[in-house]
Amino acid sequence: MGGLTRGLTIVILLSILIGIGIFLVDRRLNQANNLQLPQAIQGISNIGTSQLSTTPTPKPTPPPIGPDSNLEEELDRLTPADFSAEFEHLRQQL
Amino acid sequence: MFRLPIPVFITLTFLFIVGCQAAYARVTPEDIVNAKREIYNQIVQRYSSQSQTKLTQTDKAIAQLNQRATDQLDLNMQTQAAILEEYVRRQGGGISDGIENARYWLTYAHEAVAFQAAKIYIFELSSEKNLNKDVLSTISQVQADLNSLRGKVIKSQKIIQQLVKNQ
Repeated sequence: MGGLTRGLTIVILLSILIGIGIFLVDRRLNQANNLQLPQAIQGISNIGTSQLSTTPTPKPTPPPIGPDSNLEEELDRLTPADFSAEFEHLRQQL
Repeated sequence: MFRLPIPVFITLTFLFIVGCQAAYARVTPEDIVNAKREIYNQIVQRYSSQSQTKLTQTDKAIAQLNQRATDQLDLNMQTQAAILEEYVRRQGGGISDGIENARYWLTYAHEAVAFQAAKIYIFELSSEKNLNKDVLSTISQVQADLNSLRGKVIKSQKIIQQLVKNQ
Protein backbone atom coordinates (compact mmCIF):
# COMPACT_ATOMS: atom_id res chain seq x y z
CA MET A 1 0.00 0.00 0.00
CA GLY A 2 2.95 2.25 0.80
CA GLY A 3 4.32 1.63 -2.70
CA LEU A 4 0.97 2.39 -4.30
CA THR A 5 0.66 5.66 -2.40
CA ARG A 6 4.19 6.65 -3.39
CA GLY A 7 3.47 5.76 -7.03
CA LEU A 8 0.27 7.78 -7.08
CA THR A 9 1.99 10.77 -5.48
CA ILE A 10 4.71 10.67 -8.14
CA VAL A 11 2.12 10.45 -10.92
CA ILE A 12 0.15 13.40 -9.55
CA LEU A 13 3.25 15.55 -9.06
CA LEU A 14 4.60 14.77 -12.51
CA SER A 15 1.18 15.41 -14.07
CA ILE A 16 1.17 18.87 -12.51
CA LEU A 17 4.70 19.52 -13.75
CA ILE A 18 3.87 18.36 -17.27
CA GLY A 19 0.70 20.48 -17.24
CA ILE A 20 2.73 23.57 -16.28
CA GLY A 21 5.23 22.70 -19.00
CA ILE A 22 2.47 22.46 -21.63
CA PHE A 23 1.08 25.82 -20.50
CA LEU A 24 4.49 27.50 -20.83
CA VAL A 25 5.19 25.96 -24.26
CA ASP A 26 1.76 27.03 -25.50
CA ARG A 27 2.32 30.58 -24.27
CA ARG A 28 5.71 30.65 -25.97
CA LEU A 29 4.21 29.46 -29.26
CA ASN A 30 1.54 32.16 -29.10
CA GLN A 31 4.17 34.82 -28.45
CA ALA A 32 6.14 33.62 -31.48
CA ASN A 33 3.05 34.11 -33.64
CA ASN A 34 2.57 37.72 -32.52
CA LEU A 35 5.91 39.16 -33.63
CA GLN A 36 6.20 42.94 -33.58
CA LEU A 37 7.11 44.02 -37.11
CA PRO A 38 9.67 46.80 -37.43
CA GLN A 39 8.43 50.14 -38.77
CA ALA A 40 10.39 49.68 -42.02
CA ILE A 41 8.08 46.89 -43.08
CA GLN A 42 4.97 49.06 -42.93
CA GLY A 43 5.72 50.62 -46.31
CA ILE A 44 6.25 47.31 -48.08
CA SER A 45 3.57 45.24 -46.42
CA ASN A 46 2.28 44.01 -49.78
CA ILE A 47 5.38 41.99 -50.55
CA GLY A 48 4.90 38.26 -50.21
CA THR A 49 1.12 38.47 -50.21
CA SER A 50 -0.94 37.22 -53.09
CA GLN A 51 -2.26 40.38 -54.71
CA LEU A 52 -5.29 39.54 -56.77
CA SER A 53 -7.79 41.82 -58.40
CA THR A 54 -10.58 42.77 -55.98
CA THR A 55 -13.13 43.08 -58.75
CA PRO A 56 -14.72 39.66 -59.17
CA THR A 57 -14.27 38.36 -62.70
CA PRO A 58 -17.30 36.50 -64.00
CA LYS A 59 -16.54 32.79 -64.07
CA PRO A 60 -17.44 30.92 -67.25
CA THR A 61 -20.20 28.37 -66.83
CA PRO A 62 -20.00 24.81 -68.12
CA PRO A 63 -21.85 24.02 -71.36
CA PRO A 64 -25.39 22.70 -70.81
CA ILE A 65 -25.48 18.90 -70.91
CA GLY A 66 -28.92 17.58 -71.75
CA PRO A 67 -30.68 14.53 -73.19
CA ASP A 68 -29.65 15.53 -76.73
CA SER A 69 -25.96 15.97 -75.91
CA ASN A 70 -23.39 13.62 -77.34
CA LEU A 71 -21.53 12.72 -74.14
CA GLU A 72 -18.49 11.31 -75.92
CA GLU A 73 -18.06 14.43 -78.00
CA GLU A 74 -18.47 16.66 -74.96
CA LEU A 75 -15.78 14.67 -73.16
CA ASP A 76 -13.44 14.78 -76.15
CA ARG A 77 -13.84 18.54 -76.23
CA LEU A 78 -12.58 18.80 -72.65
CA THR A 79 -8.85 19.42 -72.81
CA PRO A 80 -7.21 20.65 -69.61
CA ALA A 81 -5.00 23.54 -70.65
CA ASP A 82 -1.27 23.22 -70.40
CA PHE A 83 0.35 26.37 -69.06
CA SER A 84 3.93 25.58 -70.05
CA ALA A 85 4.14 28.61 -72.34
CA GLU A 86 3.03 30.95 -69.55
CA PHE A 87 5.53 29.52 -67.11
CA GLU A 88 8.26 29.89 -69.72
CA HIS A 89 7.24 33.52 -70.22
CA LEU A 90 7.36 34.04 -66.44
CA ARG A 91 10.87 32.58 -66.28
CA GLN A 92 12.10 34.74 -69.13
CA GLN A 93 10.86 37.86 -67.38
CA LEU A 94 13.39 37.35 -64.59
CA MET B 1 17.47 5.82 -6.21
CA PHE B 2 13.96 4.42 -6.36
CA ARG B 3 12.76 2.30 -9.23
CA LEU B 4 9.50 3.28 -10.86
CA PRO B 5 6.86 0.57 -10.96
CA ILE B 6 5.77 -0.33 -14.51
CA PRO B 7 2.21 1.11 -14.26
CA VAL B 8 3.67 4.44 -13.15
CA PHE B 9 6.17 4.41 -15.99
CA ILE B 10 3.42 3.66 -18.53
CA THR B 11 1.22 6.43 -17.10
CA LEU B 12 4.05 8.96 -17.29
CA THR B 13 4.91 7.96 -20.85
CA PHE B 14 1.27 8.34 -21.83
CA LEU B 15 1.05 11.77 -20.18
CA PHE B 16 4.23 12.88 -21.94
CA ILE B 17 2.91 11.82 -25.34
CA VAL B 18 -0.46 13.47 -24.73
CA GLY B 19 1.29 16.61 -23.54
CA CYS B 20 3.39 16.82 -26.72
CA GLN B 21 0.31 16.28 -28.90
CA ALA B 22 -1.58 19.00 -27.04
CA ALA B 23 1.30 21.45 -27.48
CA TYR B 24 1.75 20.82 -31.22
CA ALA B 25 -1.95 20.40 -32.06
CA ARG B 26 -2.41 24.17 -31.79
CA VAL B 27 -0.25 24.80 -34.90
CA THR B 28 -2.60 25.22 -37.89
CA PRO B 29 -1.68 25.45 -41.59
CA GLU B 30 -2.47 29.16 -41.34
CA ASP B 31 0.14 29.48 -38.59
CA ILE B 32 2.71 27.85 -40.86
CA VAL B 33 1.90 30.25 -43.72
CA ASN B 34 2.01 33.24 -41.38
CA ALA B 35 5.33 32.10 -39.94
CA LYS B 36 6.79 31.72 -43.47
CA ARG B 37 5.48 35.16 -44.39
CA GLU B 38 7.10 36.72 -41.32
CA ILE B 39 10.45 35.19 -42.23
CA TYR B 40 10.00 36.34 -45.84
CA ASN B 41 9.17 39.93 -44.79
CA GLN B 42 12.15 40.08 -42.45
CA ILE B 43 14.55 38.93 -45.18
CA VAL B 44 13.12 40.99 -48.04
CA GLN B 45 13.31 44.32 -46.22
CA ARG B 46 17.10 44.11 -46.61
CA TYR B 47 16.82 43.78 -50.41
CA SER B 48 17.10 46.65 -52.88
CA SER B 49 13.87 48.29 -54.09
CA GLN B 50 14.44 46.81 -57.56
CA SER B 51 14.56 43.28 -56.12
CA GLN B 52 11.53 43.96 -53.96
CA THR B 53 9.58 45.15 -57.01
CA LYS B 54 10.64 42.06 -58.94
CA LEU B 55 9.45 39.83 -56.11
CA THR B 56 6.13 41.64 -55.83
CA GLN B 57 5.47 41.41 -59.56
CA THR B 58 6.45 37.75 -59.78
CA ASP B 59 4.37 36.91 -56.73
CA LYS B 60 1.34 38.58 -58.29
CA ALA B 61 1.95 36.82 -61.62
CA ILE B 62 2.18 33.42 -59.92
CA ALA B 63 -1.03 34.01 -57.95
CA GLN B 64 -2.89 35.10 -61.09
CA LEU B 65 -1.57 32.16 -63.10
CA ASN B 66 -2.58 29.73 -60.33
CA GLN B 67 -6.06 31.26 -60.19
CA ARG B 68 -6.48 31.15 -63.98
CA ALA B 69 -5.35 27.54 -64.15
CA THR B 70 -7.56 26.38 -61.26
CA ASP B 71 -10.56 28.28 -62.66
CA GLN B 72 -10.16 26.45 -65.98
CA LEU B 73 -9.70 23.10 -64.29
CA ASP B 74 -12.70 23.77 -62.06
CA LEU B 75 -14.80 24.43 -65.16
CA ASN B 76 -13.49 21.20 -66.61
CA MET B 77 -14.52 19.31 -63.47
CA GLN B 78 -17.98 20.87 -63.45
CA THR B 79 -18.47 19.74 -67.05
CA GLN B 80 -17.27 16.24 -66.20
CA ALA B 81 -19.74 16.13 -63.29
CA ALA B 82 -22.60 17.27 -65.55
CA ILE B 83 -21.69 14.62 -68.13
CA LEU B 84 -21.54 11.90 -65.49
CA GLU B 85 -24.90 12.93 -64.06
CA GLU B 86 -26.46 12.87 -67.53
CA TYR B 87 -24.95 9.44 -68.12
CA VAL B 88 -26.40 8.15 -64.82
CA ARG B 89 -29.79 9.62 -65.75
CA ARG B 90 -29.69 7.83 -69.10
CA GLN B 91 -28.87 4.57 -67.33
CA GLY B 92 -32.09 4.96 -65.36
CA GLY B 93 -30.44 6.30 -62.25
CA GLY B 94 -28.95 2.95 -61.29
CA ILE B 95 -25.68 2.75 -59.39
CA SER B 96 -22.94 0.48 -60.70
CA ASP B 97 -19.32 -0.11 -59.73
CA GLY B 98 -18.22 1.84 -62.79
CA ILE B 99 -20.32 4.84 -61.82
CA GLU B 100 -19.13 4.72 -58.21
CA ASN B 101 -15.53 4.51 -59.38
CA ALA B 102 -16.02 7.48 -61.72
CA ARG B 103 -17.66 9.49 -58.93
CA TYR B 104 -14.78 8.72 -56.60
CA TRP B 105 -12.10 9.96 -59.02
CA LEU B 106 -14.23 12.94 -60.02
CA THR B 107 -14.56 14.00 -56.37
CA TYR B 108 -10.87 13.35 -55.76
CA ALA B 109 -9.82 15.53 -58.69
CA HIS B 110 -12.34 18.25 -57.87
CA GLU B 111 -11.11 18.47 -54.28
CA ALA B 112 -7.53 18.62 -55.53
CA VAL B 113 -8.50 21.59 -57.75
CA ALA B 114 -10.05 23.40 -54.76
CA PHE B 115 -6.98 22.67 -52.66
CA GLN B 116 -4.66 24.04 -55.35
CA ALA B 117 -6.79 27.16 -55.79
CA ALA B 118 -6.39 27.95 -52.09
CA LYS B 119 -2.61 27.46 -52.06
CA ILE B 120 -0.41 30.41 -51.17
CA TYR B 121 3.13 30.40 -52.50
CA ILE B 122 5.74 32.31 -50.53
CA PHE B 123 9.28 32.64 -51.86
CA GLU B 124 11.94 30.98 -49.73
CA LEU B 125 14.72 33.53 -49.93
CA SER B 126 18.36 32.73 -49.26
CA SER B 127 20.14 35.93 -50.35
CA GLU B 128 19.70 38.81 -52.79
CA LYS B 129 22.32 37.49 -55.21
CA ASN B 130 20.37 34.20 -55.37
CA LEU B 131 17.10 36.03 -56.05
CA ASN B 132 16.55 34.58 -59.50
CA LYS B 133 17.34 31.07 -58.32
CA ASP B 134 14.94 31.39 -55.37
CA VAL B 135 12.15 32.72 -57.58
CA LEU B 136 12.73 30.07 -60.26
CA SER B 137 12.51 27.39 -57.58
CA THR B 138 9.05 28.62 -56.57
CA ILE B 139 7.93 28.88 -60.20
CA SER B 140 9.03 25.27 -60.76
CA GLN B 141 7.12 24.21 -57.66
CA VAL B 142 3.93 25.88 -58.89
CA GLN B 143 4.34 24.31 -62.32
CA ALA B 144 4.89 20.87 -60.80
CA ASP B 145 1.79 21.26 -58.63
CA LEU B 146 -0.35 22.32 -61.58
CA ASN B 147 0.97 19.48 -63.75
CA SER B 148 0.14 16.98 -61.02
CA LEU B 149 -3.33 18.49 -60.72
CA ARG B 150 -3.79 18.34 -64.49
CA GLY B 151 -2.91 14.64 -64.36
CA LYS B 152 -5.67 14.03 -61.80
CA VAL B 153 -8.23 15.89 -63.91
CA ILE B 154 -7.25 13.94 -67.02
CA LYS B 155 -7.47 10.65 -65.10
CA SER B 156 -11.00 11.46 -63.97
CA GLN B 157 -11.92 12.42 -67.53
CA LYS B 158 -10.52 9.16 -68.94
CA ILE B 159 -12.49 7.09 -66.44
CA ILE B 160 -15.73 8.83 -67.43
CA GLN B 161 -14.83 8.45 -71.11
CA GLN B 162 -14.36 4.70 -70.60
CA LEU B 163 -17.69 4.51 -68.82
CA VAL B 164 -19.54 6.42 -71.53
CA LYS B 165 -17.90 4.40 -74.35
CA ASN B 166 -18.89 1.10 -72.74
CA GLN B 167 -22.59 1.95 -72.48
